[in-house]
Amino acid sequence: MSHGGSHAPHAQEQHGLTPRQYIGLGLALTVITIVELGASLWVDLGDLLIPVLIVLSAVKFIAVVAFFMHLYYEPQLLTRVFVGSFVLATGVLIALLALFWTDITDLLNGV
Amino acid sequence: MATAEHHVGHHSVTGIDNRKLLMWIFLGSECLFFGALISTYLIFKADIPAPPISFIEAHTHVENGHEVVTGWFPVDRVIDDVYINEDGTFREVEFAGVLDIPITSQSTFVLLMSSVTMVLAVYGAQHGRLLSMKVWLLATILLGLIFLGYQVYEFRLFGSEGLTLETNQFGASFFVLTGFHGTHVFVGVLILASLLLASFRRSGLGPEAGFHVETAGLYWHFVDIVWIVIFTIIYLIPA
Amino acid sequence: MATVAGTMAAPTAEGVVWSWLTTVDHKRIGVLYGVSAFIFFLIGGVEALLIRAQLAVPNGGVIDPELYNQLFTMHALTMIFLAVMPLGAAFFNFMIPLMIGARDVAFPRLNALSYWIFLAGGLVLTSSFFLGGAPDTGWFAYAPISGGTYSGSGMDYYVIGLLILGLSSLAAALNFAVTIINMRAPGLTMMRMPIFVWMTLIVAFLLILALPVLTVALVQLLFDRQFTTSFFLPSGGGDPILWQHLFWIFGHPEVYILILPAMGIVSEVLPTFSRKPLFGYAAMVFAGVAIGFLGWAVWSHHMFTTGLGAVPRVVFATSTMIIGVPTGIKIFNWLSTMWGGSIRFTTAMYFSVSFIALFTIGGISGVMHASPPVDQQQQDTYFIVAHLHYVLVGGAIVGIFSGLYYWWPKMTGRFLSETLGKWNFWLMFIGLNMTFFPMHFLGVAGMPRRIYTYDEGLGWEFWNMFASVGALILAVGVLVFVINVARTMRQPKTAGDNPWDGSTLEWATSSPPPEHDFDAIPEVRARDPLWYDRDHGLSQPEGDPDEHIHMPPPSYYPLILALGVLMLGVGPLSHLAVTALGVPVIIYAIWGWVLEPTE
Repeated sequence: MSHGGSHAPHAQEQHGLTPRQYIGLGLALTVITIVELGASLWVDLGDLLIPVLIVLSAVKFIAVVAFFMHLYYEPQLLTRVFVGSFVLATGVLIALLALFWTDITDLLNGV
Repeated sequence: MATAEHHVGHHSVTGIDNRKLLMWIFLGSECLFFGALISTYLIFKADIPAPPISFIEAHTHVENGHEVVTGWFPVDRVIDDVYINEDGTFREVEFAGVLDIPITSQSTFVLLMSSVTMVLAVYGAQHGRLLSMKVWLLATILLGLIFLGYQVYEFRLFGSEGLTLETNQFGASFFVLTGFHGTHVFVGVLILASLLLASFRRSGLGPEAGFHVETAGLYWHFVDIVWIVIFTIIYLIPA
Repeated sequence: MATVAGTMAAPTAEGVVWSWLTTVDHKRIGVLYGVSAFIFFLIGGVEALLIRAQLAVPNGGVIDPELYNQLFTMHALTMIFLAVMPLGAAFFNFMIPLMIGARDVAFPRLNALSYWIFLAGGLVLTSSFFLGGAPDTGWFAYAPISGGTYSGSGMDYYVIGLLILGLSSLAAALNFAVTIINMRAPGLTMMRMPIFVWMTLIVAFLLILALPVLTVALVQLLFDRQFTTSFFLPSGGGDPILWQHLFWIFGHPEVYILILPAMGIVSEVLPTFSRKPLFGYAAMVFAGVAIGFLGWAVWSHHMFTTGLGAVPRVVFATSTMIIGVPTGIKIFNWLSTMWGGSIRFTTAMYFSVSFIALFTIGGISGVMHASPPVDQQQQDTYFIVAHLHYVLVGGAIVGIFSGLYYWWPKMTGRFLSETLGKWNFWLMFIGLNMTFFPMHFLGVAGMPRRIYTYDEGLGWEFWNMFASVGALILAVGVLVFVINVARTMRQPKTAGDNPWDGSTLEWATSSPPPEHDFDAIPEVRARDPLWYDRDHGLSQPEGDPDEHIHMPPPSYYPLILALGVLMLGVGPLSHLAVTALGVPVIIYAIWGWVLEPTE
């Protein structure tokens, strides 16, 4: 069995960004964080605030995983393992919150 | 430039090194770990105004010559903005968040920068630039320690304001969640410090230096993304 | 390679005891798991017999109520965490590298570490009996009974013991996931893997993803008990229901962690003794994956009586009924595998066939609970006890015994006696049905689970006595197995490489296998590779038996690291100084581990 090779299209060449690009990405993430702070503290977005914050932090999350952690350049298997686990964790979290909220609404409705 | 990592180590059907695969699967496990902690936090957060919570956070209204009182007050003694003293007299209070977002933004920035220095250390290790690797590893360790310093400061500040593990559900779930994250940062610091120490041996980190630093980096970046989530959920999303 | 300064010299193979203590050979670790787990299985069995003695007659007084509470709690914990899970792990360890044509697992020292940490956790949990009383809250430790107000130091042993065992299972699961994904022999694609390997992979991922949730719940319970938080205590604003959710988010995947290895074993035994490939291989794989996936979406069916609300009840009832579908697919595939086959009724086959029947009974009563109104009648009655024992004894344990009879010749080179085997089978089969079937009646008649005793005239006397007699017969059956093993081990090694004409790779090497498993790494050209080779006149590559094959050397560090973990855990139970001393032990072990040459 050859090492890497045909299974992993990106595994052979040296992959990833250059140091300059890494620093640039770090700066971009800092800017996003400042925007998040602005949205949270200084601007009144009303009901839009939570979706905006979730989207912005998702962008940061994906950028770190894809580029700092090289996942974008790795064989798909690793993406499937990690994204699968993350989706499961998120699903369990949402289900739990829904269960606790339903608990309250049902009590209010007398169910 | 090909690195040594693909030619050393065990037979692998997928072409992924066993140790890297293990690290990624382990990080998947960590998703569930922090997912459960964050769920607990959010469940109790939704609960906080409800009656079983016996304390709420407030700062007393500051008037000329009046003492500044800050802390957690029994909820049954608070009606709107008025706090009923034990002797039956009233005092105005102003509700405020215990979280100091500007301070935490600084520590968030520090941890974000540590991800940049980490990835530069990996780059150095993979390209045989050992001095660069050592410098960036040291920088990452220092940034990690600064982050932990911020966390110690924050914990002590909260403690002095009367928010502890047993104050209420916010205190319990906040300290356990961020405490476990801090523990992960600390373990990461130990791993990176071990790598840095080992890199000063005559044999350095051996032919797989790039691989070792990269795998440690995966853990470090994961701890960073957990903080991205925690920062948004605890600090940025309002009550 | 020269010894690195600051590390111990590598252990030499001299001395039987040290060679076992420092082994990193997956087969020896499998034996260690198997022997330890079987001893715990016997301990758990004695606990069960004491419970049955207490319940045999109305107003029984064989044991006092405090001890009774400890016994039913420890019976469950012992059987789940110290017997069935590690017996599964014993098969994973021994068989998986052989079945995928590898020479060892991906991380041999991590494998040894898993075993030693398991042993540490088992000792912590079991020692609680002698150190102030065992846990006594039932194995799921519902709040607020598990809080400091209502339960003693036994719960601390529960928390620490399960945390340690979780670490062991996590390490083992990571190891086996990587091993199965990465270490397969050439040609052994995922869809050619034996079903047992598939089930192991699914179990590994269930453990990896479910254990952290239990860890969080246990840590929160630890904080409630030791550091005055109130995560689960309503008196301090906490929510006892949160514990139930977190526990069952782990607990339901755990059910599949217990049963899937047995399903895998049965899927190997039935084709071999029917001389026919497994029917519906792909459906079998997808059913297993579907069970693993859906296992995450059903946890609240354990909590129908907690006032979940109408919508969640409908959702979880539906998902619970859906999970019966892949399980049904498996049952029909097993039956179809036997259909038209040329069946040999060996003891292993007896156990596997009875597995199908017994597991189906447990599965059907399980689907009954999927209906919330029915569940509300059955919750916390002996009906539930009947259901879970049909799945875990009739399912998991019977499957494991099938595997023991099937793979014993491979593991030891000796056949277990078929005559004693049949005695073993019939005694266990009759005993377990006598014990557990009447519990359905008792449950419907209103007998509550975990009750200490009961009055005359409730109509429960006959079936309780009947069940207690059945438990004794079951115990005799297990005893026959022990006798069978003791006699077999004095027989000569007569089993050839492939005594049953099995189709999978473990039968391509000698019995017992050499330390390096295969002289030459096997080649896989199809599913059921050995049958394909036989039918096409092909043969596996021959290795040179004299060629030196490098195997990883034995190591002290897994043992030392496990000792450090044990000290870390014992600290909160005794004196925190033990924890403080454990930290340098762990650091020393990790450094030694990392610097130890493995080539």
